[in-house]
Amino acid sequence: MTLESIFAKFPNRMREDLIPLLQMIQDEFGFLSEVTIRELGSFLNISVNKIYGVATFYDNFRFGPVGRYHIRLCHGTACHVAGASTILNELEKLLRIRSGETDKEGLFSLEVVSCLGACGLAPLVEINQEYHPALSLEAMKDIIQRLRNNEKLNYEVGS
Amino acid sequence: MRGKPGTTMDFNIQADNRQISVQEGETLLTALRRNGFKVPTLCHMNRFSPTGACRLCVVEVEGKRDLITSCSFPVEKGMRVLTNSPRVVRARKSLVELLLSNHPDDCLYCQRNGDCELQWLAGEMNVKERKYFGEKNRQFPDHSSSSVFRDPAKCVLCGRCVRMCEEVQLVTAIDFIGRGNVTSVNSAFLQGLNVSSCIHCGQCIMVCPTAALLDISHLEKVEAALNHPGKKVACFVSPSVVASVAEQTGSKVHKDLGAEVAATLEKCGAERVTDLGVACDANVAQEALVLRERMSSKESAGPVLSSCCPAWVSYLETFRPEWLPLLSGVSSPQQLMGAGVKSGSEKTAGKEEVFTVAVMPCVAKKQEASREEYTHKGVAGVDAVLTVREYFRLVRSHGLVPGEPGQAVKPFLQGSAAAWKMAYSGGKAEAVAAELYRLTGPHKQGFRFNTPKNQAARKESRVVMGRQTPGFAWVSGIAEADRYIGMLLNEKRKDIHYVEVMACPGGCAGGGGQPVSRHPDKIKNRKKICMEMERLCEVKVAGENPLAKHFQGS
Amino acid sequence: MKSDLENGTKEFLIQQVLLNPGRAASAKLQKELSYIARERVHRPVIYLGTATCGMVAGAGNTLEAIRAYIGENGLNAELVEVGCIGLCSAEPIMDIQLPGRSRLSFSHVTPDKVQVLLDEVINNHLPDVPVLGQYRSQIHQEWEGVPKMEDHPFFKNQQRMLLEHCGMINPVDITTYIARGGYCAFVDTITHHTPAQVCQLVDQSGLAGRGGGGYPAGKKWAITLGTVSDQRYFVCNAVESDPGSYMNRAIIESNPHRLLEAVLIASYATGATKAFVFIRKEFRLAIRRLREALEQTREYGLTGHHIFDSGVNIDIVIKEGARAFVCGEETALNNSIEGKRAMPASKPPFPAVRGLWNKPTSVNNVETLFNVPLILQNGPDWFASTGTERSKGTKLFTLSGKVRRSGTVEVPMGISFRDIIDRIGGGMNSDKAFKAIILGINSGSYIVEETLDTQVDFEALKNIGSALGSGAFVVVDEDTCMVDLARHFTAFFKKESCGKCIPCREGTARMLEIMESVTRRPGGGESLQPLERFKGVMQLRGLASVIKDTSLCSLGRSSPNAILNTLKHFKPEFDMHIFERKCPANVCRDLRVFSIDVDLCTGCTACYKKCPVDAIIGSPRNPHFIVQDKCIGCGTCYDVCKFNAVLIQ
Repeated sequence: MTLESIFAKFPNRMREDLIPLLQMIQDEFGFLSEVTIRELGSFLNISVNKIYGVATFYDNFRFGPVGRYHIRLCHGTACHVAGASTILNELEKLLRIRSGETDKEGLFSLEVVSCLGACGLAPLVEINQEYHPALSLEAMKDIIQRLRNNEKLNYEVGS
Repeated sequence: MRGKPGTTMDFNIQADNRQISVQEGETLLTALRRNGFKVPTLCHMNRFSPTGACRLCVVEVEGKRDLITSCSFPVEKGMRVLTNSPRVVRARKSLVELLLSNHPDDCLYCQRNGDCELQWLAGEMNVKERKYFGEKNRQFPDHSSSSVFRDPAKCVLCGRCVRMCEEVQLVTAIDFIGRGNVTSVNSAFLQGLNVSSCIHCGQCIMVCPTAALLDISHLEKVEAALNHPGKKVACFVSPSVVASVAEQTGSKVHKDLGAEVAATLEKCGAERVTDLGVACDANVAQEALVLRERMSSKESAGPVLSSCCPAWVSYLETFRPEWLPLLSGVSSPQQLMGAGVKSGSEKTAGKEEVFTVAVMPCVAKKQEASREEYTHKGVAGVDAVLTVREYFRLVRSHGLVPGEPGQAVKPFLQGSAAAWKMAYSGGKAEAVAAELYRLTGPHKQGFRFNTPKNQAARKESRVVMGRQTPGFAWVSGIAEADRYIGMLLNEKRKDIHYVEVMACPGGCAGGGGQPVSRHPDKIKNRKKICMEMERLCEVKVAGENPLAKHFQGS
Repeated sequence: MKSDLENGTKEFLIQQVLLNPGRAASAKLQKELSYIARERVHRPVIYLGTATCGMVAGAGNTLEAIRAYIGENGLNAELVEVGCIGLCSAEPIMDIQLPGRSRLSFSHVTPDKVQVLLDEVINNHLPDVPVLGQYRSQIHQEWEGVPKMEDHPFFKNQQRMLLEHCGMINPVDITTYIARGGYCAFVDTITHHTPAQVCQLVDQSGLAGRGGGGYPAGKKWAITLGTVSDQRYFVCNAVESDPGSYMNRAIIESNPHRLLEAVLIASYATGATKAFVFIRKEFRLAIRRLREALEQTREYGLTGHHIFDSGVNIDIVIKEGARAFVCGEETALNNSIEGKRAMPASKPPFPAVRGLWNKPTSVNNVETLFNVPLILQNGPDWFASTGTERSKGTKLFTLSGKVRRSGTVEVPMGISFRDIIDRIGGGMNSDKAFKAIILGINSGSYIVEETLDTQVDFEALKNIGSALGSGAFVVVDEDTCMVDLARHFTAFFKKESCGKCIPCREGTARMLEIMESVTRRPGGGESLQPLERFKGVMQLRGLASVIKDTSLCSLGRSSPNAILNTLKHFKPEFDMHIFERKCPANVCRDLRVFSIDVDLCTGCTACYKKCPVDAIIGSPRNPHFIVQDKCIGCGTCYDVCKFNAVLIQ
């Protein structure tokens, strides 16, 4: 899909279309670039500053590309109680990035989310939309190593 | 929000130990303030709907579990309000302490020292000690714009600038970015103001409670020039500035007001100080000519739009380029004066030696002075622009008292009544009408529009001049301007031929370079002074001023 | 798996069920409907729970295995993906229903078990594998020796009204839903009741908001209906951003049609012609199923113009929400729908009077709505017969944490918290002692040992200074540090604060600082004196009360709750952190005391080299020593020591 074809889905150009448009653009291109935001501003006749203000309010909008493997770590209550903090610390050390960042090689990016909604199988991460539940520290390290070696993981088929 | 008296219901509520009269539908804050209660606010702006963001206006209301923000809560029958219960007092103080916990501690080095709302609140709330020692948000100042300086570290996120820029000026050059504790007021991608859509009107500065928004300072340049042995500083002072100085210092209106201002500048080291009013007359005269020409041409795409307001021109360039051809195209008084002074001095000494300084009620003029078309062979027509605020700082730092009577040395005022008219919304239109009238009809002293007293919505006037009846309109604030002109063009109205547009609500009397003050009548008071000065002028109409001829040409 | 929507079935259902719900159904009609409802089947049906909890547990692989089995064996069987029955700790769950026999349910069905299970059951044998249970049936032959699902301790003490079809039916098959009575309440309502009557009925039932607010739903609808306007809206709040609660998502994945029916009824009752279901974009499966279900309602003429010739117009729009916790607040949610930053607004005016685009808008939670078709179908008195005097109906909880059985449960109001843990949850999952139940971050309330016998009831909880919250139910034991948990919650609030009002924006940051000073040790060797930490905690109380007094919205007002509740119930633990710098649960990493066992240390200098603050002294081949004053408790030495010589106290 091109930007134009995305715009064509919203012929009424209403303010309420802003967030759906941002979501569709990010789904298609992976992130929101300055160019696309400016085009969006012209399309909707809304100030670019306002659009940027709306996009930066919500957690799921990114302004730079994610890594080949995008890791979303759940840090909800049940996961925290099950030791998600330790896993997070370890991940940050292993990948040498913090939440919200992508590593220099573009291999991994990390995002901490508040609740993936699988509390019975805490702690868990989601990598490229596939879940890895009931993670131990060792298992987490193993996954990272295998991804680094470009091995396929035994994914659960995600939703 | 109040209804017309007599049409809504009045009733009483209890506030502290008194019964006060309130009107149905109005907010608690309006009612309390009208009855003499002092309630602090920060995010509240008159004539804007309340947001309830700062929570400083909280009061205790019997029956409600939490404290209530009086700015957003309507009065209710049977209400019992406590405006200074221990809970309320403690809450307000804590809120200020919380703001201070994320605010730089450098009051002594801050431009708004003594004039800052946060500082005032801290004093009022009796804040005596630092409660929190955590990290403050790190923000970087933005010097990129030619007119407006931003220091987000001092921002208290009251949102007044955002609303002003969006709702009154339709620009939204800045907005809230991010979320929570790391929210800042910024432009997209945190780029500088100079690449955002900012039109430099400076209305944001006028509503900012702290030093988060200020002028880009030209004081250093001016001081350097004043002290430079090889430079001669030529200042020209706008009549609007003279009125503001009189309003701030409480001086009585008399014909030497301008001369007093000039005297202070001369004592600072200016070689020559002139009245910008002459250039104002030239500008008005030229606009009248343009108007006459357009009116006589068969094809008219629309009314003539005044072009002396640089923020308005910036707005058209960014948002309404299709309206640009409607501009009169006449150079603003500042640029006429600058060009005139520089080319005049060319004939005497080398023009590099002359340093021109405009003292204006405006920050957009700083941007205008830097425009390429006003630079000739690398030399700018106007080298520096000082706002009224900068004028006061300059003069005080030299130990002088602005507006001190008896300072006037030479006669000063050279402009006509038209120059004073340009200081307030509607005045320029009147001046142009008077000049056009002079050109087409019999002379008339003290030309005034015939408009009804309560002309809140009606800012139009039609004047019979010979066989034609040109229509004049005046708007201030970009939202009003955009709406009105859009309406004129959509409805293809042929009865309005000239629209005076001032980006600042109220005209230059409310300009972005004026002293920041929350006095509700400040614009009215400055306008009053201008109108009194008009009466004192001998020359009433721009074209009658012989001195104006020196500034022909665009 | 979508069943074929033949026009025949559609017409049949519309005429025989929707338009004539009251007519006594003939035996023939009943039988036909029971096939459509899958109460009876013509051929074997294999059900697999593929809601998110199932998928996370590996149901995707099981699905592939079943498909492979059917393909390889040329089996004439139907494979139906269903939602979640609620026993998430037993997923993946596979059910098999043979013609004429009651439905069997198996737990933990990993791909390797598929062959064995199907081989046996298809041939009418019970496999050697433990069975979860069978569903009681009047019409089918039951399996010998297999316990009934309803007797399973997890299900026995629940009252499953909202969850009745979850995990049983194909969520995206409208025929099943209608055959089981779905949409009858809606059609009946718009045919026989006025909107005002509907508001009245719902109010009479006592249904109160389940999102945490507890506001009477019928009253809210009546306010919206009664506000004069040319346009009204209805909004379903499916944000569910409370970490630890996912039942709304689970029930949408399992029975989206019921939500749509409820939204239709609520829209009718409030005079709204346009309804929004605002659901978080991350709920991918729920959104997919909801969209599919919505499309089916359009095909059946249940949404759109002139619904069933009644003159009623209702359009439902699914709005995928961007992520922010504060979106769960109704005014912030409305702003998000309008395309703005999700900043809450002052109330009054309330959204019921002035909401979306300044029009009257009722906003309701998913769980609240799920009750609505039942109330209209069975009457308000029926609903009010469950629960306590002030809290009617049932409540959904997502049980998780240190309990043996976790998942989504539905209990009648009035059950005690102890019973939920012991009877439904199966008690603690280890020998460790119970410490607390965390009722979600929205309320920040804890249930502790002393209050375990409190009833699930709005009033009862208010009396002990707690609140019900949205339904999160995380059980923690002695291995959880409550101070660290309070710090975690405070960090959450700081991150999620919208930033509009001063008390929340600045206050949560300051509270977090104080909590960090209690649970962490600052680097650089300097640490605050106990007195300063104590002062900080005193400041916490004052700060907390100002934040509660002055915050703009409920996010701000509940942000200090975790800290206040920890101080209330776990003061000794707090004090230990402040004065003794010890964490009894051994969770706060920085407060651990590290020492080197001189007998085990070989002097390899690995720890000495790695210590980030040079707190270890020692020379090669001699035992090393950790200087406590400098140690920041990072644990690096513990990590690098190959001889297990570093001890943690």
